[in-house]
Amino acid sequence: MITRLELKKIVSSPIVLTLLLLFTAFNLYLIYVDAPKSEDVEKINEVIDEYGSLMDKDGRFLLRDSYEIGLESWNARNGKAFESASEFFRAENYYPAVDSGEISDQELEKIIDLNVKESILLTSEGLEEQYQKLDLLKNAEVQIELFGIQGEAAETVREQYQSLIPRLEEIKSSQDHLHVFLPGKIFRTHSLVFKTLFGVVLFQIMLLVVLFTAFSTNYEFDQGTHLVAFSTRRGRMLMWDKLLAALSATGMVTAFLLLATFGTYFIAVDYSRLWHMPISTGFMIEPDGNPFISWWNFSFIQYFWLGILLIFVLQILFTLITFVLSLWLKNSYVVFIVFAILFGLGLLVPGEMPKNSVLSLYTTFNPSSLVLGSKKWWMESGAFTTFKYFEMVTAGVWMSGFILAGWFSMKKFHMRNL
Amino acid sequence: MRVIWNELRKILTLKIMLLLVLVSAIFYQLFIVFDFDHFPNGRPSADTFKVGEEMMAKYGQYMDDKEFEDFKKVYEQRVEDATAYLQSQPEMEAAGMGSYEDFGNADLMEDEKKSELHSKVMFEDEVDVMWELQSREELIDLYEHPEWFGYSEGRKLTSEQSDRVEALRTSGNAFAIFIHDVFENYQNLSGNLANLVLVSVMIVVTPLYMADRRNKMTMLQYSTKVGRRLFYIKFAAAFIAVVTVITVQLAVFFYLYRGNDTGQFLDKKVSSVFSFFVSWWDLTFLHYILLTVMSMYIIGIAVLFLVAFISSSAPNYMTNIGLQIPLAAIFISIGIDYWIKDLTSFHLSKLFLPLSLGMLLAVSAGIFLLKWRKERIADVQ
Repeated sequence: MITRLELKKIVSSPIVLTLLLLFTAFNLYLIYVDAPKSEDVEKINEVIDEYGSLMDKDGRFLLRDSYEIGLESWNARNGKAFESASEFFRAENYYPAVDSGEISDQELEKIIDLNVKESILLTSEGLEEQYQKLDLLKNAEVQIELFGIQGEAAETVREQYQSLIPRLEEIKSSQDHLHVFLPGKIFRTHSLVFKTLFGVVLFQIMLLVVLFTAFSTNYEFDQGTHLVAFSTRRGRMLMWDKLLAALSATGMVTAFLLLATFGTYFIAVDYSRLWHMPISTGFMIEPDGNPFISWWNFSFIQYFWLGILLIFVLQILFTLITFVLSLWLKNSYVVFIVFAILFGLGLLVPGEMPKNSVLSLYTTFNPSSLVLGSKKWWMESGAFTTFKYFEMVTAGVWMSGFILAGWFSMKKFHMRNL
Repeated sequence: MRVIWNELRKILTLKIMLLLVLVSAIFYQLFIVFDFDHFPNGRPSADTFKVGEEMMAKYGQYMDDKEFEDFKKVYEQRVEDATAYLQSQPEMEAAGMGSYEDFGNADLMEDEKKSELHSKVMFEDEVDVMWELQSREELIDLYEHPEWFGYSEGRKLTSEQSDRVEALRTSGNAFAIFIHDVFENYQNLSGNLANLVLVSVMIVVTPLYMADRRNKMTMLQYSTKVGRRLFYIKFAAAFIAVVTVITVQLAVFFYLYRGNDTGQFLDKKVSSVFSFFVSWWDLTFLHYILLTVMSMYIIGIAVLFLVAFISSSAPNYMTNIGLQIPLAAIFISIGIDYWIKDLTSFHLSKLFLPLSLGMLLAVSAGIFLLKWRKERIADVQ
């Protein structure tokens, strides 16, 4: 009962609702600007429907046939002699042809189709070569050089990359990397979903969670009713109710914002053919050229749900951190600033560690780095975070740490002078 | 006066100052220190900076055609130095890169041997003269192509903008010796500093009216004649606090900025073919810096008005901070770019800066004054 009233205080407060709406609007705007247009997705889907998603030698066979026949007949009909479909799209060919109106819309559609097929063929051929040449140990050396890591720490980084090699071999032998996906070089959907959208949702909810948890737990102190409320034994138990209310509110707002954001995204972009594609497919590679190599064999949808799960876990962790801070500081404003400072320290401390000590790697195991690294959760993700269980260890250790801290702080709070 | 002093002590408490220092320190480490420690950042940036220094010493404020001839002569000499170096290296000669010309024209994509030697010279041995030549070539290019000046892809210049570019070109002002690395470095730094100023003001002002209302002090205060004046006495104290905090931030910042050794560019005009920047007015770098400083004070004071208003209206800290989140987001994502980093750029309208800053100040002050008028006759509760 008390929990429900406490919860009502949080979710019915206008500022929480206002911010939720503002955040949702902002996320929808991001989707509107960056999501691939449905007609582009349509073309990819058509290819998958017709030729399957696996573009190994056999998979390409029929596609190549249809592409070559298509190009020939297109050339014959339009009196051109293009070697490839992309040749048409060069400025000196494209603009005169379209401006003079000698190419009908129907014909234009055809050459666009051919161009999509061509780019899929070329991409998969390029990928086979790129993955054959891919040397993870060399990547490790590049990372080590880039961040100036030395000694023991550098050794650890090499070990981690070494242990990723079997996984790369597995990808190559199962040909996970040759599955058609929305091409990352053009659409960057992986960054949009797992960095931009995951990132903003994480930050937005974190702000809200800290605000309302601090508000709820400091309510009695802010209102000056703490002397009445906390002077009995049951009174101090009120904090547990507040924690429970804050946790439920965290679950609710997280669910709401995730649903609003990704509900819209997946309605706007048709992923129906893509749910079960491996997340490590090479088609996702973005202009920086780095392949996504996951530690386990995840499909897109599995990877996505795991990400959602981790978002919930992180928000619950933030609720707990705020709760513990509130019990000690008893001032919601100071709690907010101290939380911000702690978050900044999480990003800062690893960089301040000596470069030859493994501390510079292990201090990265903190929630702030986890939040900022959402693009490459459970993947090869650079020198500091390429550990097989990085996400699980970080979330697990901090979670159990703050469950203990919460319990301990409450015990202290029971005895405290008001 | 005594009341103001006491209010001021309530605003800048030890606790708040400690938090402020901590927040600033972390903010510096995360966003600002990089542009101090790594300036000029790598090669050929560092070489360009050095060449720029030499140009200033030799040619002064601007470079004219005669001085440009001299500049090219120095370039030729350096080319000879480079060739002499290459010839002193037997393996270069053997690979067919015995002169600077051959070195520059070598097909690095096709010829692996050449590519290897090339990167050995540039990255392993880091032969200074090679890097210096790169910088000089870029500067010569910029001088010889004044039509690049003010051009930006996909944007058509209005007649007013073209006139401005034309005027700078014909008067020779466009050839001020002002290197773009110096400019970009200051733009980054000042943008981040402005963000820090913004956050600091918010931290200081947020509790302004909150504490007394929380303690139900307003009941006592507002029922007396003098009590309601506390509203603007508090504001005056906050004003002093904010100006002090901004001044301290600026002082620390410029003390550290001196280490970048850009002081020698202070009297150079910012609109230059070498800086990729066109300003509506003939500003020197010092003027430009002073303008950004002024802009920071104005933004700081506008935010003071807004946060003071929020602090006097919000029922609790959750609402108080919650309302500041969109405010900060707007300032940081849009405001800083226009009001600090791209100051007086000719891509914005000529009147944009004075008008928008004036409006920002007027609107925020207006909101606050309306609140004050209400507060004077508000019921005590």
